[in-house]
Amino acid sequence: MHWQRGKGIRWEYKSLKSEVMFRSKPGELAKALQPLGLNELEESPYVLKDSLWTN
Amino acid sequence: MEIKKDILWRVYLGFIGIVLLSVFILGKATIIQQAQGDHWRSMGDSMHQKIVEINADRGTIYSEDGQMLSTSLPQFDIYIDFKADGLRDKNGKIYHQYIDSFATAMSQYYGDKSAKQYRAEFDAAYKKGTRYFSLKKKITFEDYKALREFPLAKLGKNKSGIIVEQSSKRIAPFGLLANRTVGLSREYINSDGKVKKMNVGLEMSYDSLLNGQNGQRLVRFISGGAVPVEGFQVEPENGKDIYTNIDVNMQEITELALLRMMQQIEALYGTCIVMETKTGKIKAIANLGKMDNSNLYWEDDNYALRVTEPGSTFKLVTFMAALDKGTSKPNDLIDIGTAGKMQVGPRVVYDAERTRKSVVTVEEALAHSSNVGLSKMAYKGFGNNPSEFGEYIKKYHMDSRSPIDLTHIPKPRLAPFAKGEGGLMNMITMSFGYAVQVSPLQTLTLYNAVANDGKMMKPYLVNSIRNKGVVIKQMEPQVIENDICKKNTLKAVKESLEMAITEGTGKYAFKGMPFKVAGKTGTAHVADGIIKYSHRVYQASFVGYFPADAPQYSCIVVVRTKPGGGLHFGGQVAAPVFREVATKLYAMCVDRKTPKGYEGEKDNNTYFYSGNTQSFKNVLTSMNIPFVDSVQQSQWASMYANNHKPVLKTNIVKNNLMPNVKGMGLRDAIRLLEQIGLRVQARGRGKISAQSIVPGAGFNKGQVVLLELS
Repeated sequence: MHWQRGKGIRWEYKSLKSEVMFRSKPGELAKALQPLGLNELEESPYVLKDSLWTN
Repeated sequence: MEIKKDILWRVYLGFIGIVLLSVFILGKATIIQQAQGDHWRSMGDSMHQKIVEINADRGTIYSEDGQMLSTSLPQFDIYIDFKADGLRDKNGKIYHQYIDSFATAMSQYYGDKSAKQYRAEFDAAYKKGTRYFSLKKKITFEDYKALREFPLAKLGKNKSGIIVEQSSKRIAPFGLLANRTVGLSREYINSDGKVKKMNVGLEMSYDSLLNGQNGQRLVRFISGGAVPVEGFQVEPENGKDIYTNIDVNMQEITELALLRMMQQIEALYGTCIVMETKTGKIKAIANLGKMDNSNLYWEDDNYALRVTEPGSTFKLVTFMAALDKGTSKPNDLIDIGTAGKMQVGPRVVYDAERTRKSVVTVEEALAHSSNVGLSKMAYKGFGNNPSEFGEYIKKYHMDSRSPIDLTHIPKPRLAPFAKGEGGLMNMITMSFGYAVQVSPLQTLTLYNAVANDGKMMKPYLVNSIRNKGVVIKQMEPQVIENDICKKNTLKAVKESLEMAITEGTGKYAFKGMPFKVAGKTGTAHVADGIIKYSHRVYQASFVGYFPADAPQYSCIVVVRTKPGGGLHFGGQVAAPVFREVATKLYAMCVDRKTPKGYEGEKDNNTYFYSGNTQSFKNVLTSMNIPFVDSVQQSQWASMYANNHKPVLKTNIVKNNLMPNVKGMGLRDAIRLLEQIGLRVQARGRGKISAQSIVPGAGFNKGQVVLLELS
């Protein structure tokens, strides 16, 4: 029946979307990249300054 | 003659018997049809027609950027009826033909049992004639879809005997992320046998909005299935969606930083909240509690709301009250001695964290978190009238529940100020954060007010409520208190909180920070319920804001340590978590310069304009430009190039749906949009390049649409 088909598509969308969202969160990405030797930066950020031109 | 009479008599008897029987049958039929007719007819109807509820979908809770934090997904329980006609027909022809490949498919997909094991289970159930063989429970939609394509299952319900039961499950795609605050929505069976709901967090405080209205459908049951009756249907109204202020990335940074520290020191529980300074929006809220006898943590309670003795972070209240009253000045000197303890009024006060100086300024007393210093300030200011200190606590909103949009918020507790109840003693003890219980969220709200130049903002979680994508309620930031303290006081507080980082109790934790931080450490010795002071449980906290010269975020970290000491100072336990959160957020969100992307040269062979059809035609004909007209009578059109020739195409405008105004001039757009009941706000110049309501979306009358021109 058509109303069930509509639900099916919505369910599929939600299931896939939640899966994608979970896998693409930074923590999961970091985990996925570890085997490739890519690790999160541990150092604090620092501000780059232009030594020739300051305002 | 005797014989004839004898026969006749028997014939009559038989005849009368038959007549009586037929009269009885006719009579019974009349009674059933006439006297009991209504009863039997309605019973017949009820067996064949039934009103069935159609469940409304519960709304979804989103993060600020539209990621799903909590949503409803279906789950399926699969059973097999081994007595189904299809399986039994012709000596189980279908069963024997497909059961092997079905077992193989199950085994390959799930990998939990071998095909042989599956086959053995099926055979046993088939032999027994089980009608409700549980195949798989709680499988996802993906798995269900795959299963539908398996051999045997593909044949459909009647032939395969496969029974599918669908239910709805509330899931949090991000798992742990802000789980307690977003909340849970669970159903359980009560002792009276009824299904009840148990919600916490936002799921509870916004339950009535998230819940939709169930619909109804009249269904006629006929042999082999159910058919809905046309025209007897009330559509369900799905629940509204809730958009929170929570940022998934910030939430994750916060949660991971907290988790790492807690695992390292095996802490009992902890919380970390990030608030946007200007608005009071809660951007991240992590709550972790230790699971019994393990080093695993879960969001088992909203510790951000739990009231406990805060310790030194409460000294801000004492400091502001004494300065606001004018009994202390920022540069006044206080003698705190060298012994680490001193008699202040009625009691002896001990300094937990010692400084090398014996005489400090008022600002230094706070930066170095001297209990003696602060209690002396309190004694000087309010020794004569302790309840006046209570007035200041009230002014800083530390005596009432946080106004955050959640329910079941614990109430803060204060020891009494009355003379007969040890008021003076209580006041002195309170001045360094004991004899008072407040929640981390309240403390953060106060520090955020300092960061926000004295303006106290209401903390809030929900940003908007939407129905099918249309905003039906937009929450705006709310000011609770315009000036929390005097300007001079504010200046001194800020200096002192910065000093706490540069030379005070936060000195080691924040060494080499690339930007300025202001904040306060806190270490409270906990006695709470079954926990006694002798168990040496501490509550380490750090609360502050960054960057200190132009604050954008405030953050509080509170961690309760395991019994027996170990690392427990606010500067050792909570400050490093704050530091990790602050540096990551700084790199991510603060002071960020986004380089402008490369813009290619424009190709004058591609263009797109929209507007009034007649105006297009006037221009094109008066300039003698040939064009393809596929508009005919419509009022609105768009024009684009096809084979170097302009093509005019109808721009569809339908009632209650947002039209596409991209490429239009502002004059045309305003006329069109206001005609259908929208209010227009525009910025930029040129043609419309973006619209805040996407084409085809629904909208409410009087809603504002933002147009961007370029």
